Amino acid sequence: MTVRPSRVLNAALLGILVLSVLGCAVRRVEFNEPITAEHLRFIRLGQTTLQQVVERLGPPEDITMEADQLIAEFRWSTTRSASLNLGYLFRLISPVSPTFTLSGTGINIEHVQFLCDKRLTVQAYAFGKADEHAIIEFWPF
Amino acid sequence: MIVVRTGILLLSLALVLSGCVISRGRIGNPIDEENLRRIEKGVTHRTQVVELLGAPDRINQAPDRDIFQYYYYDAKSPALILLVFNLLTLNAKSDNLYIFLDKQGVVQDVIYGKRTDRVDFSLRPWGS
Repeated sequence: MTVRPSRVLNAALLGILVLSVLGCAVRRVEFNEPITAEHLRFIRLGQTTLQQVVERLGPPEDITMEADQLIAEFRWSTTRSASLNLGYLFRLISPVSPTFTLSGTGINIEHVQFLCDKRLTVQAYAFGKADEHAIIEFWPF
Repeated sequence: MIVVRTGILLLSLALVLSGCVISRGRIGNPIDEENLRRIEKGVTHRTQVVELLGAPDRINQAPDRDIFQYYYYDAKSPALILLVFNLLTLNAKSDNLYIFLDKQGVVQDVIYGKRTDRVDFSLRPWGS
């Protein structure tokens, strides 16, 4: 019986694919929807009210007051985590697999703040500086 | 024959659903929108607000007014736990209600927004 080279190649590719996902875990946690500058184009400083902003973007997570001014903060975040358990490779040759996991987590918390006057009219707004972590990051070093 | 078909169907279902995890978490109580509609600016007093909505989750005090904050969080999390490969997504959203009261305790403004009606069970650990 002869084995075709293409079958060997397919089997090898399948083996590599299986090995590449052994012990992989990908997780994602999202809190609220992202707000971009595009979403804020409707705002006219000194005219748009906080209520109008809330109708478009949802509610702020926090409101703080300072004298005659008020700051409304909208927050959202994406957390991505990936891990690779290399101990799974031992399952091929051993009934017991040790744990050796490489894992990385990226937490991107973003926010935009609105400064409002006493009548809750938007006077200014500013985005916080955002982190950008990789989608999948196994290497912790 | 029916027994065999049912058996095959159950086995197929078990195989398809094997490794599926569906979970849900909530923080706080959903904001009672019917009672919220009863609150009138310039009329309703803080005691009535508390009667209608319960004690606030947080009170922000300023020299000339107080803000009652009520919040509610809802999270849905689907996951696929396979022998060698796991995927998990958790989608969380918040509702927030702010009631502005003057020093006499009368409602001046109401800011309310709801997002939790858009929380979904989608499993998508990738993407931006």
